[in-house]
Amino acid sequence: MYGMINQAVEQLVRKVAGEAGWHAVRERAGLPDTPFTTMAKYPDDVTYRLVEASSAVLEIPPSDVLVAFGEEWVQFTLQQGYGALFLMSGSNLPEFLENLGRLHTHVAAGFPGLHPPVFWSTDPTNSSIRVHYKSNRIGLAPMCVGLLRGLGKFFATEVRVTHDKRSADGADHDEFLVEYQLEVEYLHER
Amino acid sequence: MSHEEWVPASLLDELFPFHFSFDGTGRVIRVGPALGRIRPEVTPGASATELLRLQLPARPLTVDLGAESAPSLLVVETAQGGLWLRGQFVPLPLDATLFVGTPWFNDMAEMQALGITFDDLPPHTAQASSLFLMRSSQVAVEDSRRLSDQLRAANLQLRTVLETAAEGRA
Repeated sequence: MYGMINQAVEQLVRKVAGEAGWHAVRERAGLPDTPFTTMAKYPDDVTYRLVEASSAVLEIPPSDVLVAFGEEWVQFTLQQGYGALFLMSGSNLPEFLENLGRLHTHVAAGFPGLHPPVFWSTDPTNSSIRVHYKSNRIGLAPMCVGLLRGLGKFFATEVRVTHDKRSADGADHDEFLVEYQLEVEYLHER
Repeated sequence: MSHEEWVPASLLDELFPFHFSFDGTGRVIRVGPALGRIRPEVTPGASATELLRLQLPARPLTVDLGAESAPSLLVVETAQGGLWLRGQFVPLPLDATLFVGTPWFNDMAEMQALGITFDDLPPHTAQASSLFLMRSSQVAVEDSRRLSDQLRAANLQLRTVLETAAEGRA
């Protein structure tokens, strides 16, 4: 994975547990005291180790670390200057989510060798949409819950995310029901 | 054959949402949906030569542009709003010409200011992807700068420690 993923994990841990917490996580993950480089590629194992170490140091389940990381990821990408690209993908949450798959295809063009997850959405209504996620990386699906919550914050929209189909339980892919409240009727605005 | 029969209008709209065509009198015939939304003054019947300028090469906008034997890359700018379009002209029957192209921009802020979204950029164009490529290149440069600053600070700290140690020994 690209270094920016690991940088975002580091940013999350520093926010929650400070400098000492980050050093504890880094040491537990067996990583050297050197900064991650945004555009360098790291083995996936580094990220998995960071998640496991964060779980142990922060004393929360790995799935909760991933949810928190998903939310942090939205913040992190905004800090990296990708906010304008978010807005070009949609002016509200459901519109953005309908374009999420296309967005990831474009992202892949900016990051050679990237193997991004596949997103697509179905069943849009004025109050909900179903988001589908498929990745060749195992166990990261809880991150989507945080990601969807983070996007709700970005679009100033209250959301409720239900992870109701799980690849971990044998499903072909993961599905998330995203319920939201919009001031306009989304289907009429399309 | 009319202009409309030359290629289905809906297909033209989908593939080239920033297209426009005009006839020998300089009047606009058709306008793509994205161009029409962003620059509503560019509308059928309006004067193409007043509303659109050929910037590269800097020469008058004329109907014979599409008929030139060696089509080349051209850049057109809207007289209002500063929308730059790069593309090419192709001849149409009945003394008319068609421009097909895409917006030309330096960064995503320009596109955002113009009100262009990814929906306006057909998948066959590389523009949306190039926006991510541009941003990730900028991020890499900023990252190198940050790492360089960290290295400089560490060097300074090390030098201070060494000097202090040397003074202690003296």
